[in-house]
Amino acid sequence: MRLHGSLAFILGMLLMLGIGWFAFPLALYETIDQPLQFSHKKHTGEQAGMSCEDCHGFREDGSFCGIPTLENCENCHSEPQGTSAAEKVLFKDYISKKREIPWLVYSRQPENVYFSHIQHVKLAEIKCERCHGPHGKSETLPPYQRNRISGYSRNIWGQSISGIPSAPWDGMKMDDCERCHAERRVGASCLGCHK
Amino acid sequence: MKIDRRHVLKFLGGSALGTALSPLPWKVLDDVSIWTQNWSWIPVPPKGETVIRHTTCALCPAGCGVKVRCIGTQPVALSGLPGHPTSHGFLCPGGLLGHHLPYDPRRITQPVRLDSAAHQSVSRSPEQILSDLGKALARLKTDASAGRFAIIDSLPGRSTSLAYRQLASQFPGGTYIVPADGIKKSLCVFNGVFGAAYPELGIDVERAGSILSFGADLFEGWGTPGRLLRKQQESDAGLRLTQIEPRYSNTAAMAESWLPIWPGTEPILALGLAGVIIREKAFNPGLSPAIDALNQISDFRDLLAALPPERTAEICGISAEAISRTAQEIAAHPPCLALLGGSYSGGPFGEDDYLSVNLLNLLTGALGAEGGLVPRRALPEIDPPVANLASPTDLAGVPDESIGFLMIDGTVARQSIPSAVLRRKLVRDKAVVVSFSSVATEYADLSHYVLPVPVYLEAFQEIPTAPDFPVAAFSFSVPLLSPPPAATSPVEWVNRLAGSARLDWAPLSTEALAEARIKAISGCKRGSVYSYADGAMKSNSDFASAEELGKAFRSGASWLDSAPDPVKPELTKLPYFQPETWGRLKRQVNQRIEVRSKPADETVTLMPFATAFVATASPLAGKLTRESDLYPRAGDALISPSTASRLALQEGQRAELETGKGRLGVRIRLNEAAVPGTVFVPISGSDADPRNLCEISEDSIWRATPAKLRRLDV
Repeated sequence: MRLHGSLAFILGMLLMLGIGWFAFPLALYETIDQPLQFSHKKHTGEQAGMSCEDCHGFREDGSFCGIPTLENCENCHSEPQGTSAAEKVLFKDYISKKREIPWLVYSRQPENVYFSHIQHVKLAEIKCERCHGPHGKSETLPPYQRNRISGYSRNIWGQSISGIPSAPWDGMKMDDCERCHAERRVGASCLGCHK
Repeated sequence: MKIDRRHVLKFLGGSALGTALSPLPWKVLDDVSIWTQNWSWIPVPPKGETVIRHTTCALCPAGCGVKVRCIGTQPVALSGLPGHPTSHGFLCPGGLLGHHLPYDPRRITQPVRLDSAAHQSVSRSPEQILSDLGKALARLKTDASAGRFAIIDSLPGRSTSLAYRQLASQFPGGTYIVPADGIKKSLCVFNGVFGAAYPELGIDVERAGSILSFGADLFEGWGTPGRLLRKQQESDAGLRLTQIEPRYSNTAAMAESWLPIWPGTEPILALGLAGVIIREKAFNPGLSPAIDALNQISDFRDLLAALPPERTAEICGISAEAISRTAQEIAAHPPCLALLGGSYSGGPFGEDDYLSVNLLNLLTGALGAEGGLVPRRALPEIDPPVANLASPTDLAGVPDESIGFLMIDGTVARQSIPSAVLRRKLVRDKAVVVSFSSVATEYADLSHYVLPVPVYLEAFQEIPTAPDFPVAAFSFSVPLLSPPPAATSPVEWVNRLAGSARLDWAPLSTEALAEARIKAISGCKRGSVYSYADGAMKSNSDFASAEELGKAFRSGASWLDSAPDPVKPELTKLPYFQPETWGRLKRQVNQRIEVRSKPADETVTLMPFATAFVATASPLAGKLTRESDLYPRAGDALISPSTASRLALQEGQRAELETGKGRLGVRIRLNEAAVPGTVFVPISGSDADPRNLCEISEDSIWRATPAKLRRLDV
């Protein structure tokens, strides 16, 4: 009888552990496709030979461009550059209609956060990969996983539901910023990042 | 196997433990809290491109250059402009948070009629309010018993000030009141000493050899904040600053030495130091004839002889060694700037105090020297001049119970005058008080009407020369946001009121007055213009036209006058060389010594003081500083442990402060750095304002008031 009772306890615990660790993440995030499949590898590889800053560069005043506008794409794609499906979509749905591409941004931060790219990239000489991982060499864009409750990308929390990063670039929450600042012995005041 | 209630309970217990050991509840909690930040009705800055714009801070007369980071058109962060010639990239905490002001929850968007007794607004349409005020103004012209018209200008020297002066001139006895700026007033001893071409003096603090501050809050609101901070950062020798005041203020904490003197003994210490300098012949060698002339005055000789270091030390509550050391220090590092604080916030000093402290500026050769008090030209006057202008008057020069209609420009909140000082100037029970303000709480206990005006970042405003700057300077605070529809400039309100009162009035406009000022600056061809956007300095004469100069001003620029040619002061014009000055000073000093020599009984000396600007500038910062105890709160009373012990008071206890003017409930805060026998109470705009308890003399001076402090038994 006592053994049966313990078994029920363990069963309940295992069930909820399973739900919490494995089923819950599946339910928490919804997967949304990017409007266009984009190959960073093609652009940064030998064929095009571009660098990150060619599209994600800084303006003259030092502010960061972020995701490039359609005008940037048009510099090279004013005429179709090949016959791939992505190229057709780019030309038909966006360039010909002069419509901006509604990219889903993996690293979009809350409204009360201000992140200065120029301070981190130029002053601290931190590589893009430190925060964004090997994104610049990817063949296809990974699916955008949106948190159904908070609305933010899974990349902010990190891939593991535990929040423990599996790689330096896994996670873009305040803990991750603070960890990097502590590692580099760089102080951070509230108003440095929060508007 | 039979499943019974025990199995179910055990299963549920296991489930609860499993849930707690899984990320589910914790992640859901975290995400829900983030979700609550993203509700659609919570205001957030619009998404958009980051745009950098520039303006000049209008929160105080310093006029610091500001870089504004905007998302689209919305300012989201303010910072200093590193190359700015007067502020050098610094902004005070209040300036950094200036973009919060338009969202102050106390903001008014319509004219308000206040019932000051009931502390509430009365419903009345804007048309009715204008009509009421028009009738009250018209009555002043016909009924002599209604009292005089007066207007208080918190930031004189603007073109807007011309509109005020013109309005005042429309009424018999109309008075244009300029609140006594602490810096300007402290230098008025030297008015006219450099001739008519240089009516003002500036302070060359960057090149000063040493600084002796008598209660000037150098790091908390005095002058332009960036000037001293840059000097401190760049000078290997530091500031060589000696702070003399009864409280260990933030400025005292930043100084090389602090002399905690007894309240009210500042002029005695200044004269004691002057005596040491003269006896040891440590004064500027060029002043020997002047010192000989002074020594011919018997009251001068007697006064300084009566204040040797030992006696001065006894009166002031510090050591004789500290006095001798300070005298040697300032003589060794000339020129020494002797700066006297005092303002309507913490309590102004009297004319005799200014005379005593400025004697040190004379003796150390600071008058007219590099690193001292330097002659400064006035801003170029606009042409053609606005006709019929009332002359500026000090509040102290206005007779008591004489003002029947008072208008208050509350543009610069830091210059606020205590209500008790203003109330005694009003015709009892009949006066009408109108304030231009963005919030209904400004002078709320005094005003009958509040007319809404745009706040900083919404208003186009001229920034004339800062009181401390060594040369004339000018810039505009340009609007980056739209004000509420009913909030219009004070000049526009003046036009409407003049129309409502059927005055003989040609409407003025802020824009037209500003254009005239630009034309005047362009016409003088002197000085240079610093552009905020590219940091370039261009000669004024290189601008092809006034229009081109105006364009530069509107996109962010500061004009700085060229340094004047060396000019020698006419020392004989100074009041020091008149024997009656020393007779008066002698009487004043003896009175102070008498007060000081009275034995301490149950009384304490009440000293109001101003908290840092950050506590009042932004509603958010004010809340944070109050709740974090970063600064003393309204109603706190700072006393030394020895005073607390004498009065049987303890930390945190409720107590009552009583003077001849009334009572105030306070909370006791023990402070090791408060001079024994003194109670320091921060000023506030509320009913708990300690300034309302102060004894105000006929010349509108108060500073140290005897008070009783006793425990309130709960």
